[in-house]
Amino acid sequence: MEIIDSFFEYSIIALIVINTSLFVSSYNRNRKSPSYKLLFLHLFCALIINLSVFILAKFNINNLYFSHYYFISQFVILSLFYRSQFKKAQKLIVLILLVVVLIILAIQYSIWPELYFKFNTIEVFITSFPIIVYSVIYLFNSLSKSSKYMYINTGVLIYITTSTLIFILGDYLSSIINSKGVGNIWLINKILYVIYLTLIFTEWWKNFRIVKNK
Amino acid sequence: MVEEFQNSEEQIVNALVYGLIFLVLSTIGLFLFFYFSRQKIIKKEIEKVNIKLDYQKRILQNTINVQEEERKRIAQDLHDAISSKLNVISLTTNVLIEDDSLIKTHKEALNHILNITTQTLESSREIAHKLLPPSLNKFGLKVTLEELFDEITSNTAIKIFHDIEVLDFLSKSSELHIFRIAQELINNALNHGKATQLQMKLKKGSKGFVLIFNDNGEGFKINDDTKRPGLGLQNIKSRVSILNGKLKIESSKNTGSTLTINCHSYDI
Repeated sequence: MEIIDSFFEYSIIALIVINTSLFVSSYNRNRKSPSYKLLFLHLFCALIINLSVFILAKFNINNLYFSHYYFISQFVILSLFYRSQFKKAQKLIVLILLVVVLIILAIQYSIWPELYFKFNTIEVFITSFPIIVYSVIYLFNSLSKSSKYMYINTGVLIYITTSTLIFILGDYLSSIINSKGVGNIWLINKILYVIYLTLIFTEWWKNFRIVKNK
Repeated sequence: MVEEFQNSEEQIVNALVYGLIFLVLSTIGLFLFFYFSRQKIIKKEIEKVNIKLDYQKRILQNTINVQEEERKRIAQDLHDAISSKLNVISLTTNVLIEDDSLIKTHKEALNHILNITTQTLESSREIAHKLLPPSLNKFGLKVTLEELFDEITSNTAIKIFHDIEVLDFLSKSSELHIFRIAQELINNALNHGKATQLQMKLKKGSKGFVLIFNDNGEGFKINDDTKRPGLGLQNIKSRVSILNGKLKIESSKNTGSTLTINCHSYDI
């Protein structure tokens, strides 16, 4: 159990590092595409956050506030990513949701600033649910026209759906002490994250590795 | 009591694990649904496009057939209505000229009429010939093609090497199509390809024939749709498909072009 857990933890770090370096290597080729830059930014943030959390955990320092960085950065970057792929009316919806959610969070933190050091369930929900909706809309858009980022979208759909639920329960789960089941739940989260990162890798391998000459 | 609480907590957590697995599988299911729907929709779109292409192809073939019918009719009418009457005019004028009692100016005028009538006859014959060469019906494809080559070599500086076999299993309309293809190829090489040398081979193949055309000009600009819309090449393609044949073009700016038409749909 411990071994499987550690295996996935180290795989996560390894995959993020691999993915980020791969995206750096083909950065010049894809400089013009804003979606590419956003994906790179997403990976980079994930790298920093995961490394920091990992290191801080080893030294037993409280790293709960990194969850805020994680959810908000994920929300903003992926919102902008989907906005770049959507049609005109859909772009507007993304923009509106982006602004509304950020305003709600700003209001929440200004009234209850102590939430910064705790786990904020509402934040998890309102930053993750729109992304799931966007990913389904993207699937729908891809029905008749070509879909460029299919792998990443699938990853987003599969990972964020389940991990959102896991994180929402995170508050409750951390209050349960002696339980194998809780460990299983966090393991599921790790496995899904590995799958997500693998899909990002597949996306790079299939689409960004070689430049297609017309 | 604490134990009971812990057990029910344990149960809840276990249920959560299964619930989460269920969620993952449902999400994967949703994705698969969209994925297969997409394949289906794309397949339908391809079918639709193919039907449209097929329809367009049939319209083109029909147009070509109608075009040939028109040409035949006009050539026939030229011959019956115009050529024959012009002949009568020239014969009558000849009779008039024989009269010795004519004064010089009258004789000159009649000669003038005779000249113009002869020229008009020539033109009319040429137009009819270009529309539909009479030797195609009378003597067959080989003779008509060689006649065409002679005409070109005597009027231009182009050399034409040819090796034409007799294909007696071809219908009259198929012979006409091959003739038109040759006409179009030669025209194209003359006007656009800037060629100095042409080569055409028409041979019997297994269950059909093979036509190989070769020129040393600038080649068919297959992808160039800036100058000519490529009507000539489209014409050739339609006729090849009427003949149930396959067309292959190898062309480049420096080495000229080679066009191969293979047809294997005859029972010899």
